[in-house]
Amino acid sequence: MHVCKFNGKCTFPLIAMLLFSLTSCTDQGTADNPCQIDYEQVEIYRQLADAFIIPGYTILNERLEKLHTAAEAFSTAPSVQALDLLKSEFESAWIQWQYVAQFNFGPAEQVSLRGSLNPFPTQPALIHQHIENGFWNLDAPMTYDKGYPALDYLLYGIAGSPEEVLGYFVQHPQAGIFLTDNTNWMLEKAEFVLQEWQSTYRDAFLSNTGTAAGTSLSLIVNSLNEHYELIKREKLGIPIGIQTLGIPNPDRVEAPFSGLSLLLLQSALEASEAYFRGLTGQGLDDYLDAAEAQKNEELLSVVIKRQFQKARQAAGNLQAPLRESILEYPEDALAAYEEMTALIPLIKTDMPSVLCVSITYIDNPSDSD
Amino acid sequence: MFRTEPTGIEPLVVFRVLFGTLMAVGAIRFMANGWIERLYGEPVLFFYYPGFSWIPVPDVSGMYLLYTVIALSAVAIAFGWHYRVSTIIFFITFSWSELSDLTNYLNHYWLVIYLAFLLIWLPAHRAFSIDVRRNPNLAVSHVPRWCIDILKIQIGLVYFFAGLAKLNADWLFHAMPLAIWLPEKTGIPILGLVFELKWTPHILSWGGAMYDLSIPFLLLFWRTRSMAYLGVIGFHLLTHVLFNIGQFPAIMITTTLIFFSPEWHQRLLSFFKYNPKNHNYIYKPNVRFSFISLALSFWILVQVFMPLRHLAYPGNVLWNEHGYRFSWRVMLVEKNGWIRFTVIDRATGRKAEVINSTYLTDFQEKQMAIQPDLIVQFAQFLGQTYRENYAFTDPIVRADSHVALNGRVSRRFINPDADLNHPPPHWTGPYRWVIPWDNSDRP
Repeated sequence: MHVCKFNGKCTFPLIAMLLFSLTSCTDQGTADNPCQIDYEQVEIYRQLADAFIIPGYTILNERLEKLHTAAEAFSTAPSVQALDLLKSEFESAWIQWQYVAQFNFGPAEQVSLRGSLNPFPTQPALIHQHIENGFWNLDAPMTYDKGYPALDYLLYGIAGSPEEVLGYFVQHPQAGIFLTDNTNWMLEKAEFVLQEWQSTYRDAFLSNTGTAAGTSLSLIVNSLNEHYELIKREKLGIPIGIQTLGIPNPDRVEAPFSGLSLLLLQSALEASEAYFRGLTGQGLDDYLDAAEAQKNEELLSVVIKRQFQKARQAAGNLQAPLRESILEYPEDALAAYEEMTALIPLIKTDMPSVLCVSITYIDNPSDSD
Repeated sequence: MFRTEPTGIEPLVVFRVLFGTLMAVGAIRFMANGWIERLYGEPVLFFYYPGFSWIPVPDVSGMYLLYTVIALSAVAIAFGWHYRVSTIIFFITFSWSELSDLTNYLNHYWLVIYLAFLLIWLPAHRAFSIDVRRNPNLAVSHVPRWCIDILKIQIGLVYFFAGLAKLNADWLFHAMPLAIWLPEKTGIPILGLVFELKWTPHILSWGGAMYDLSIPFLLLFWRTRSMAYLGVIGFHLLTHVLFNIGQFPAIMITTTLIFFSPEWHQRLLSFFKYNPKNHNYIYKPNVRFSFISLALSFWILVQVFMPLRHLAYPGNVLWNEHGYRFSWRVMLVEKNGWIRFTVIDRATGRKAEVINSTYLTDFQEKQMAIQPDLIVQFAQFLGQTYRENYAFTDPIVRADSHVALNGRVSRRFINPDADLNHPPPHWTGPYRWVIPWDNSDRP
């Protein structure tokens, strides 16, 4: 092998490159690197954790506690008053769920909170089977017999009128046990998530800066997108029949028995926008502004906020209960669906691209080049 | 151009052994990582290479068999056992696995296919092989120079065109997409600190382009060769740390050894009890040199034509990807797309929105959303599906499609009025369903 001397002819690009990079270490800050935005990410993380996520789970826990208490009271002494109270606790606990459902990472992902608390459509036949057999396993994954949708059926759909529901519970003591088992189990899950956030996860979340997969920014952007697509598809798209050649499936709405579906959809959209904006504090909109992200000569953050407004407005035009109005006014429902869809390219392609975050819920199964 | 004077066979032998070993490891690694299930078990439809839609895609057990044959034939190549048959089997089986789903296109797999094809014709088993041990009459000590030169040219062209492809505004002036990728790697010890610096992507972009353009020449001359090879090692180790590119660094680090002299390879082989023959047996192909010369020229012409063919199509190749494959465009773009298809019954006007994930894996959807020809393939699949399963008459397929390129906001990608089920012919013409990239650059 010939030994190469440093005689000029040997100057090798890589060596030059390395030397160059060492000497230029002192000279940073002048290059325009759109991926190194002069912005303190931790401001968003702190705002979301302290003003939105932890308070959100705290309220969820309070409401689930009340729900469980009301369920126990109803179960031990069924009465119309107890049922009314139970229903109102149920409603507020379900609405609160819409605000935190989207934080599907860290502790929530660990206990698959979303799949546990809100799998829909629920399967009445399965619930009846449980009540008759006196046996059920809420921990079984991917079953549609638990959480809010199961309660929706138990409290509103298991019989025609509230009096008949009451009658059913009186006749079927197992139903009361199934009910309180559910509320207890939901509460336990929510308690775990809140405790994790309060004990260790908050600090980990705040210190996990950067743009790589698994950083807090990537978790936020990805969870926002993933959940928004679920809202669009599950809460409205499938019921209006986008998967079934436009033939509506009204029974596929989120809350077919209580008629809460539209309220839940609207709450979820509001929550989504709040997630993007960091409520009234620092949020992804401010981050986008710091990156000077523009779309069609407008700030991208402005375009996104406007589209959120349009989507929420279009959803606001719908009539409750959704199960009936999508049949009666299909154009309005489709219009709302289209406005909701129009947001997706903005938050799923534009935002990650200019913030240099990759969409990580799609991973490469093999090598790339 | 092609020289016939004899040169030591040793570089070719080392090339054969290392190539076979790497390919065997690669095939085993592919199986061990569970990629057969993920890439061939999960999908319900496979994208095809133009002209190869007839390729049958084996099921999971068939794929395991195929990859086992790939691994075994690669081992046979390394040992020089029934060399000609082994190289042909390897070439066919490896190509088959690659042709099964265009989604998994990788430049370096195609380099492997080209190298395997060349090896079929090269006498790389005429020394240090089982074939020679079994039949000593096969042994030669020298081969005509073109046998080694063609491999150098092949590898040199890969580097050179990879460098040429980097000479675009995004790469040179915006350090894109390295500016996106490097900050994601700040967790790497020591190097991570360097990746955080704002200038680093710019330096690595320019360095990378310079490296690719100059390395074939630096390897060619003995004065610069040793330093250049250190550069090869450094560069590819860096890419190994930075990117999820599997075997590519190893392939380049080993194949570039072909540039070293026969004496160097002799010394390397002497560690493995290889005794160079004192006598001169020179390999003589049993076809006329004029024919060989013609074949080699044709091969090189194709290799030069492929990376340049995009010039025949209008528009930005980074955007429309027309002529993007087989061109050594490596790590050039960060693209992120979203696409929604609508299928329309031409007779009744009935419409259906498609949930892509019904038919595609996440990875297939991600790849399809940014590649116009895959979009058309999928649209035509949808047309057929809706005709057969939902009794649509001559379905129209339209797409609402947005793609973000290299850190920009997204732009509309596919003409929303185009009927993708009936696309205009595009073998020679442009992809007319793609909205051209307008040159108003960043943001």
